[in-house]
Amino acid sequence: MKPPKKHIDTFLRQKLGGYKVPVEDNEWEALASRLPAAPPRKRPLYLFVLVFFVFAAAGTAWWLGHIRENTGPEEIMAQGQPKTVTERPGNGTPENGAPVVSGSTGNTAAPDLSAYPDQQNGTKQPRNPRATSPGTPVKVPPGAGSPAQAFPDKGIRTPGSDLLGEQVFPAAPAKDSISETTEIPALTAGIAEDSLPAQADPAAVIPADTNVTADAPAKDPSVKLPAVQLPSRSYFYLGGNVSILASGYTQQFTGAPDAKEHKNYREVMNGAQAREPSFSARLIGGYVTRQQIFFSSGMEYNRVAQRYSFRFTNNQVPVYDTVDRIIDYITLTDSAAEKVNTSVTNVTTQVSVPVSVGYRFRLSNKISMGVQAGGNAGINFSSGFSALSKSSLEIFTRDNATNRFNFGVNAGMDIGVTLPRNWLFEIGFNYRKQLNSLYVNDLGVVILPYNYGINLSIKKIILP
Amino acid sequence: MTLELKELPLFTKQKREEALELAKKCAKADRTAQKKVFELYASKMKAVCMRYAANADEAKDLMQEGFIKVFQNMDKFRGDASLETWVTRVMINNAITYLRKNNKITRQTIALDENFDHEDEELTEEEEEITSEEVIELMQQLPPGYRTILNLYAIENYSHKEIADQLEINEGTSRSQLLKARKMLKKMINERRK
Repeated sequence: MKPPKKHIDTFLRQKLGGYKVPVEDNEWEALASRLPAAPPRKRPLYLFVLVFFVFAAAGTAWWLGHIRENTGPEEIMAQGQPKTVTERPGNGTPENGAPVVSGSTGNTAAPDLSAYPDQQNGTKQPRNPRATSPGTPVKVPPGAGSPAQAFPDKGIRTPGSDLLGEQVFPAAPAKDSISETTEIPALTAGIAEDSLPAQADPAAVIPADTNVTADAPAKDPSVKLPAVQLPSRSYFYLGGNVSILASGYTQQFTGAPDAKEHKNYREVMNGAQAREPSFSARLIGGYVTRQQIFFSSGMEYNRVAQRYSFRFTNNQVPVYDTVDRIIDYITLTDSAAEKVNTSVTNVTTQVSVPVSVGYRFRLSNKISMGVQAGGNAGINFSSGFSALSKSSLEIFTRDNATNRFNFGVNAGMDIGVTLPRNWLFEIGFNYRKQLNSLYVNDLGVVILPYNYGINLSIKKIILP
Repeated sequence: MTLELKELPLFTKQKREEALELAKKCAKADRTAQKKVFELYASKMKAVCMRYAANADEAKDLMQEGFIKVFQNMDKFRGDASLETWVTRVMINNAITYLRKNNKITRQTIALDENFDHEDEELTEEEEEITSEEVIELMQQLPPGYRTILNLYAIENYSHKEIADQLEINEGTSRSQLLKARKMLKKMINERRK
């Protein structure tokens, strides 16, 4: 019997379907020479934002530390205004009788500055006269052993003293060795300028609650001076804030208005949810009342990322043609069906406006605690979402959420530290939850983003 | 149509992950990974290109261009099908783009012979003895349009609608050129065996 003739298409498929042609040795080299070099690695925007915040925070911390070493009394805020002591020649009073000590708080009367034209016109004395003119004599009242002894309670800086700490005074020369108005060489004579603290100052700081007068008794030199305090009156603030650590979604596979069944898979379940790098960054501003109730708002960029592990049962096996197109499905029995574990990472970015109300408790002069809660509304900047495909070969397909806008609630608490120059640094915890779900109808999923994490804030206090 | 129950990619999770890892490295221009992909698939892709090209030199160029596109688009490989299938598709698309760009696809519908005989599409036992190399050599002698449609329909299993979409011709043109291509190739095979 003559065998049936083979159709030319079948013949071609058999002859050429898996046919291979040997490749010459130099073909890879020829191809490699035409391939582009590795492109520069693209770093996600959020890394730049994080790096910026880290550098900004580090720079601010360095700067604050630097200025703190050089902080003059005019920069230290103690319940309002600082007090200053001005050293003048003569017996504790200027030549025309103006008081030696000036101040503007407490019960101290405002000084008559007519005697001090340099202060009247706002001219400042050099902070460190010794640094500018080493060897310049310092006049002390008759009978005083040294400038430090003359004004022991006024923070006059002498070698070995610590402006904010204990003051150590050198031994005074014998009283009778000093004439009525004695000029003594500067105590720094012979001491290298570099070895001197930068803030040796004839005008020194004293505690706010000290009512200093020209003949005030000597204070205990071991008293430490408070550096900064939170204003007790109303103020504004502006600042930046970044939250890092944890974010995520809650997700369900039913509930989307037009949700469709997964064709190929059943018993789809969310397994472990691993959090991916997520953060929120905010520019904030606010107003704090005298009663320490604050109102805050600003602009927030929010990135929520999460990796999902899916577990499901695949009980349908597609039947392919020779070019891998699905033409039908075979349904398997439960015993033959495959239990599959797989995962996908989803990222949602949003821009929103948070509005919060809170209260700040004063724990000490410098330390305070804030609690706040509020809401937020904004736009879903990007809310593409991947989920298990309902059909075809693909395990995952990607689609965008149908929602354009988002709204939610937020709450948090923090511990704040008041820094010099009216800066406030806060570290705390913040939780934010979106209230309206994101519907990805084609994937049949409902998503509710949330994020919580450690908050770092830096705020500039602006006194009206 | 021959149906094959292929291994579902989900069932070969390990292979899929390996392919995804390899693709990820290729997308980052990792030369070692790219060389590995080339070594794995070059001989098969060269055969694919030989079927679409008019000669060996053109096939070589098509393969190089094809691999460049493969590596440029490797980040789009998602493991839905095997890496080999994906690379083959890129190669075929590249070949079609090349042929279309160079106006090698005839858009004219060829009138079918009224006395069309299905015998013209069947091979004798003697004709079947022809080698794969000889078949490729003969296919390269076909007009580019015939050759492309024969490849897509007979070997890649495209429908006339898909061919028409790919080549930007109408379905009638695809059908008529396929018949002509078969007839011409059979005639060439027959002559080669004599």
